[in-house]
Amino acid sequence: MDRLIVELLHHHGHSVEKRYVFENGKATIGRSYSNDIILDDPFVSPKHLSISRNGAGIRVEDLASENGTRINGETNIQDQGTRVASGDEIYIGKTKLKLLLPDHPVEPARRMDAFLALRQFLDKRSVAIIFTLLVSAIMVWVAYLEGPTEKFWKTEFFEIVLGYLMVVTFYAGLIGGICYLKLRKTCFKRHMAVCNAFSLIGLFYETLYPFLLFWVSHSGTVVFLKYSIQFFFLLAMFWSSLKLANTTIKWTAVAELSAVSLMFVLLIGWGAKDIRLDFSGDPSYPNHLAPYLKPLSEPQPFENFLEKSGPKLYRSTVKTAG
Amino acid sequence: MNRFLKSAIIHSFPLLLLWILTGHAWALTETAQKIYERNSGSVYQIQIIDISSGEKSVIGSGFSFSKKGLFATNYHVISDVVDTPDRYRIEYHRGNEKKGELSIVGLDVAHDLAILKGEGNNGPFLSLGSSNRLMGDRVYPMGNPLDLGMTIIEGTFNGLVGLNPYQHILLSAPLNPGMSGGPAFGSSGKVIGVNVAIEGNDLSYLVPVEYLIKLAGKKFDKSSTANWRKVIQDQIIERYDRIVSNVLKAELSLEEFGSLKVPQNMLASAIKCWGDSGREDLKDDQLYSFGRKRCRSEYGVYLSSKMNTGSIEYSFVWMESEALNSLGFYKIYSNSFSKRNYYPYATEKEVAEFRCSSDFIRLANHDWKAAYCVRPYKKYPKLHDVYLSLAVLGEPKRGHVVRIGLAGINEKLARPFLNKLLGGIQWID
Repeated sequence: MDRLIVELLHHHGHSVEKRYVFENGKATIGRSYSNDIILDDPFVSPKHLSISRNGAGIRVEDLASENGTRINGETNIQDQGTRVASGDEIYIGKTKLKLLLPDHPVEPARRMDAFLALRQFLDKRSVAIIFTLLVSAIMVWVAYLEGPTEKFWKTEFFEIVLGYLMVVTFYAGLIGGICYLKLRKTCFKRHMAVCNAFSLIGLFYETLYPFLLFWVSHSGTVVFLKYSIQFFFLLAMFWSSLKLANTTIKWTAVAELSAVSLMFVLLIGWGAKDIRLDFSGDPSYPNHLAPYLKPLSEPQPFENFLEKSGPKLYRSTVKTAG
Repeated sequence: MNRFLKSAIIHSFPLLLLWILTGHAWALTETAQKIYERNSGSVYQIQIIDISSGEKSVIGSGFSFSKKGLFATNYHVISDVVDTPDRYRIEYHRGNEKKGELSIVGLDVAHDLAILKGEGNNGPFLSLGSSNRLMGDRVYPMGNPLDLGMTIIEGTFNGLVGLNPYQHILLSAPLNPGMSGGPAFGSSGKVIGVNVAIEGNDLSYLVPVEYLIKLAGKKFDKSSTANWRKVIQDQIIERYDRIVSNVLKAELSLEEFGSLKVPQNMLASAIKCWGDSGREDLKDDQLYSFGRKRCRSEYGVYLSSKMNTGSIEYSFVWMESEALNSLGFYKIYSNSFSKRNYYPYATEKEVAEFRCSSDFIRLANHDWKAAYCVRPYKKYPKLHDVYLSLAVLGEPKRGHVVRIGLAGINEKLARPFLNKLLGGIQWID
């Protein structure tokens, strides 16, 4: 069998835009309409290239093109022929092609696993809508428990629902946009799912964190813990989004995500004045009170607390008398 | 004849009435006039001159009270000179004429008084009297309000207010800015006090003249005049020392407040308490019921144009909710515990950052979470702002918060004060 396959690749990355199969094992490529593969690329000559099957390899012949033909991004030929192997990539003008023979190895079939099933499930429109509405309903419920005023259903209810829908759309739109630039697909509904899932976790954490921080009595530790948790939360959220869009995530991508998460966390901390460089006239101390919790050990009497902590709070902060 | 006399009396009666009514007023005006005529030669406008621009930056009044060429004014008039002596100097003026320059020879920040010395001043001086007056006695303050010119006004003596020995004469007369540091005369023409503050409509304070006499008798050695800040620091600490020892001496009587018994005001002459409460009402966005008792000292210490200090302020708050679950209630409760106030506003130049210590404590047979915060003053290293916040633990939908701020105290003095104020708190079961 003389079959020869040409894949037209996207000019960034390796995704296949179009695939041509030539049963007779040869083809011509160029801008002219007489070619077997007709390209619109202005840097490709009218009759640029001819390819033909040559035993276990492929022969590539540059037809005296204007800009030549590059093989695997290295050797450049012009008005001459060369032999390439199956799977090699050639560049003409701005166009990238991959040449393949029928016996080129392919990966074995992947199992239809739970992760894949999850991705398909999340891609359903009904799932995205129901999940979003469910999470906003839970948010409304929690907010109502915190402030069951009569006005709630007239004002706050709408603020929460509309606000949350905006957040979901914004998040999915933003991450979807980034995915489109990198992967040529947005996976909008999957990002919606990630946003919903992490909003639920966030809501749970909001309720829980006074309990987590109740026993911590050092304000620096509280700030560190609070923002570390936020950092890992954001990192996990971004990572999940990318993982759902593209199963193979490289370390460089994780580093990028960490940097973005860190930036967000610092911005939040700066906005909340927890992380500050300038002078603050206000004291800061851990303020987390939680119901039902008790000190781990017998607390000291008030008098002892003052005697013990007082002198430590100003010694060595002022050097000289003015 | 008889009828003629009668008609003459009848006709002259309105005139007689007019004479009686207005005669009294003429008599008063005469007193003010006499006092003004006799004493205005010893009262001056005090100007704080910004050296680099050569223009006045603060104005006040002052008066000469001894043949040694000593002047009295308020500390707050000349505080900038103490704070940054290389930027300002003090001058005394009459009308638009500069009479000379002044230097500081004595200070009393706790009473807001300063004694200045004018080189080569041999002019007339005022004689100092006594603030021991009867309620309703006439008082005649003099000064130069708003740089408009020397004025004399008339008011009534309303007794001494505040904590001894930091009292003020309560005066019903409208003092105005610029009159600070001017003398206030009794009807005999002797100085009974120094104009110091405007409290409200026609309500003002004078510093009793006794404090000035005491200050004039005090010797400040060379090391003091070279370092006024040390003097100021010691005076503020001495003032607090007296307040704290008064509090420690006072008998502790408790009153019910929420689930607690808290001390009643121990310094009624210096600290005033106010009450406030709210009832849970979901129609009105009020998610919890609360009661609040808030007490604050009436007078503080003017330290500089950038900072007031010396205030004592504290509040007891109870709060509870039926509508909220305990998580929702504790969010609001945590906020109340973390509310930070009762310390003066100050910039980085004046104070260091607060440092806090937080821990669980045992008080009134209950567990509390406590935060104790202190920041030292940069120019007065023995003075601190102290802030304490306490929240009781244990009840899922009910809580008590205590917050206390002591401005410009020495932290060591704050501890016995706080122990006395809070140590006796009891829990009502």
